[in-house]
Amino acid sequence: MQTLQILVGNENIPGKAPASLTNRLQACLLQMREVDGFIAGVVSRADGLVIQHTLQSAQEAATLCALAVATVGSSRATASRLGLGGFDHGFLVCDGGVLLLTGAGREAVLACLLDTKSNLGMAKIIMARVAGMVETILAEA
Amino acid sequence: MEATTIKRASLTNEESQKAFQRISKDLLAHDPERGTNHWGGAAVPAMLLGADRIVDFLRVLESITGFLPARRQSYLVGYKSGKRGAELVAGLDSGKLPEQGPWLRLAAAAPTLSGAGWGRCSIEYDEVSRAVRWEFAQGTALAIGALLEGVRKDPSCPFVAGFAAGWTNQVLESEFEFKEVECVGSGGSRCVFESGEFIRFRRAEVPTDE
Repeated sequence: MQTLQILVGNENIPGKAPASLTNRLQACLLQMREVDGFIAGVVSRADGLVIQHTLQSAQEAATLCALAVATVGSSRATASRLGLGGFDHGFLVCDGGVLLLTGAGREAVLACLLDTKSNLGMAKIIMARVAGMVETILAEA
Repeated sequence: MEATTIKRASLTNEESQKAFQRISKDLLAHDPERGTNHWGGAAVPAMLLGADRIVDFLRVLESITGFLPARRQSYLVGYKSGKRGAELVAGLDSGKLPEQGPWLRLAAAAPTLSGAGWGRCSIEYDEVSRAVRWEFAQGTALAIGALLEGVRKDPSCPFVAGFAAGWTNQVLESEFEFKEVECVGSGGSRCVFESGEFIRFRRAEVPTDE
């Protein structure tokens, strides 16, 4: 985590999606509020650049995006090497919260932080819907 | 005839040799007590390291996370290096030249990189669109090193893309991203890096589960 903060937090590295795109994605992300216990969400470019987020700070969003794409990437590699097929979504259930991850088309990853009391089945359904919308928006942009 | 808006910096063989003398010899000092080398008076030691070992960092990371996340981390390290490099080189030349505008400070990257053995490049800058393009006609040292171990599916030089972005943004006060659009390491005839506002990755670069 500290290494990622050094990389993404101490330098202002340019790379910003156009407002026409981020405005539409923000409306999508806010639909995740339908999930009880939703804390925050990010749409990350497949390499980890923040496209849109609902976190308090850009630094936190950059860290979450970097970790999310790395986790999805390593999950894909694991699935591939175990012959399990394609990665669909993942839950990282921890003592203090839940990280829900899914691809949003091939160009982006959607990651959401939830509290431990969230209904994960409902979260999965809503996230799949939001991910589909994100994919469509990116394809049109 | 219309006046061109594109400025271009490149080196001859002689100029590259001269840059090597300055960058890799004159500006490199040896500390015999510690057995370390220091470039341009910097406190951090400078090391000779095979280019293929730098590519290994990318290889290891991409084997764990896939290419694009690995690319970004390599890019970020390169960005920091390019930004600091531009600051350092500007500091070395300050007071010795009348006044170095942004273009001359951008163009200074070409002899610096060639002299440091990173590869000989030409840099183009369109004064109207502000687009910037770095081309290594023979490939970067990283790409040449990577190619020795076989043609890669993906570009081998995200570190250099980040370096180009860091240097360019530092001197032009711009906010570009850079993308490697051709790479010797992945079978191209040259390495080319182009500026953009918000890069999108080609379909072929995006991971698949198929």
